[in-house]
Amino acid sequence: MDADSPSQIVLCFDAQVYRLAAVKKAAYRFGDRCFAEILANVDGRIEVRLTPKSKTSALDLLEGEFRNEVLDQDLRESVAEETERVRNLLLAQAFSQVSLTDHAGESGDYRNDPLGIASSQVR
Amino acid sequence: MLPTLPLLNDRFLGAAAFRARVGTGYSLLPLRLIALDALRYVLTNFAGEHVVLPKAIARQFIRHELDSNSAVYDELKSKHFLLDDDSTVALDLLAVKYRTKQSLLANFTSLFMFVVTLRCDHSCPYCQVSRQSVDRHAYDMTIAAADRAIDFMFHSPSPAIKVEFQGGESLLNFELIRHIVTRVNDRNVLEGRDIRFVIATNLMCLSDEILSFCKEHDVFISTSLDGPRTLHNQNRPRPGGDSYEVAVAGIGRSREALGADRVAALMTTTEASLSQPVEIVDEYVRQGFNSIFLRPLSPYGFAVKTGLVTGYSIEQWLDFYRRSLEYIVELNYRGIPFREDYSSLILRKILTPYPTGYVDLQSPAGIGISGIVFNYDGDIYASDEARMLAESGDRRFRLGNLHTDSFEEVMSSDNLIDILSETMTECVPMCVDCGF
Repeated sequence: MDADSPSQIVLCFDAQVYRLAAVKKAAYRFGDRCFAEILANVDGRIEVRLTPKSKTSALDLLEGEFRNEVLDQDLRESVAEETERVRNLLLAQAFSQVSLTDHAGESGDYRNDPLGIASSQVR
Repeated sequence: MLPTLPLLNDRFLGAAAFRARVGTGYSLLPLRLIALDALRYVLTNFAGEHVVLPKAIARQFIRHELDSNSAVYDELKSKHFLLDDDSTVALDLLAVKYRTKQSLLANFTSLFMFVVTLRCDHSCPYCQVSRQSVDRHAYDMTIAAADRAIDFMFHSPSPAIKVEFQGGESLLNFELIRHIVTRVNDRNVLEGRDIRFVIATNLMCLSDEILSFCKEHDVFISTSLDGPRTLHNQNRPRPGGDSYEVAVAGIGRSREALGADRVAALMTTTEASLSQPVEIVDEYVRQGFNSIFLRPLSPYGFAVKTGLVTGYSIEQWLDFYRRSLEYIVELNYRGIPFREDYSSLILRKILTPYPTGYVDLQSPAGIGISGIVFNYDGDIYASDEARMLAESGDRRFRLGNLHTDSFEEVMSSDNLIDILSETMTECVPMCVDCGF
């Protein structure tokens, strides 16, 4: 990089598309390579200012990689949001002495055959 | 005429159940993802299942746009990455697999390492321990400390217990080993645990008396073998320069007395080892071993003082590891069954829901709760590395002392719990999202 090149890049992410948490996580992930400043809600956008720690970093490469990382992080956030409840249920179920997902099977009266064990599935 | 039998729970669903599914209604199950390269993600989940997908397909899947008639849909469903109307037992199965993976936690500490002495006749520059010369008996564990350690050990609820004798050179204090084995066995008549003893030794002081004791009490031997003669003797200097000869003769005698499966060897990779992957593996094959555990240097003890730790880079180590593994695969293709133990552990983790018990690769880490170390002076450490670190002045991972602290105090100490919670990949930032 020559002396005239900018030493900072500014990236904008649409807040409607990307979660702030995803941008923050990407910045954290890049913590070994650059300093990051994040400004939320700049006209509906999230602005990120990246300053490479090493003068030899290629800025365009850094920008591309950072954008990809934000995409990855946002995908993770959407998975985490959707699966949070089932994740908590699973952890509870894994370490519970009784089944939390099969209430009828655990506490039903066998004479009522709540699981249909004694009846045919062929109608 | 035969009476009509009542039809109980049929094994198979009707034909309609197998017709092509329509629609894309599915829910995601918890998963982690990480880029494998520019084009692919690895997806992993609670149960330790994994699937590698092109990035575009993975994004489709997460956006609920995956065709339910595709092969990838079935793979994701069978590996518990998604849930649909047919998935009646998926949550239970996933929970059971996760519980299986964590099953070692319930049993608690099962490995107890007794550092019976720090004395050693070898002067290996890579020694992690900070050994002491052979005549310095102040560095021996006392009988009083050993007895307290045994009491401590039986406080663990684990049905299976492994007692490992370490040093220095553990056999320099064989009398204490004899005392501990006898006392543990006496006590176990009432306790009824499944107990296994292992002596880690360089085999220098091996005698018929020791071998017959090991035979009588079913004690295993674990020794060091770094590779061919020149390399081993260079890595492990001792008066006479004959560490290799001593080790090989000792391995032979131990096998003869105890049986081949009672003797194991470990190697350490020094800078001099890096150019000899094939020779090292060949040496293990020649000595009749069917596996090798390729280990890099640990950054503790004398290895730091002598500057050995900085002797090679991670890249050099990985190159060595790759070349060794390639040769091992080649050996297997040639019909010589041979295993690399570290790869075996990793594969077991990747391909099965079963825990490995390998304390370095679990969440939370096995420090204290899987294995614990009783140092010669009665100090209790969370791991072998912890006492090595303490020998070089950093006592952060010291959990207490046998003479002053109880099992309950040590196991519930802030010191241990703080360290443990920092090793839980389930909640450490970045780790929590990492597909690996």
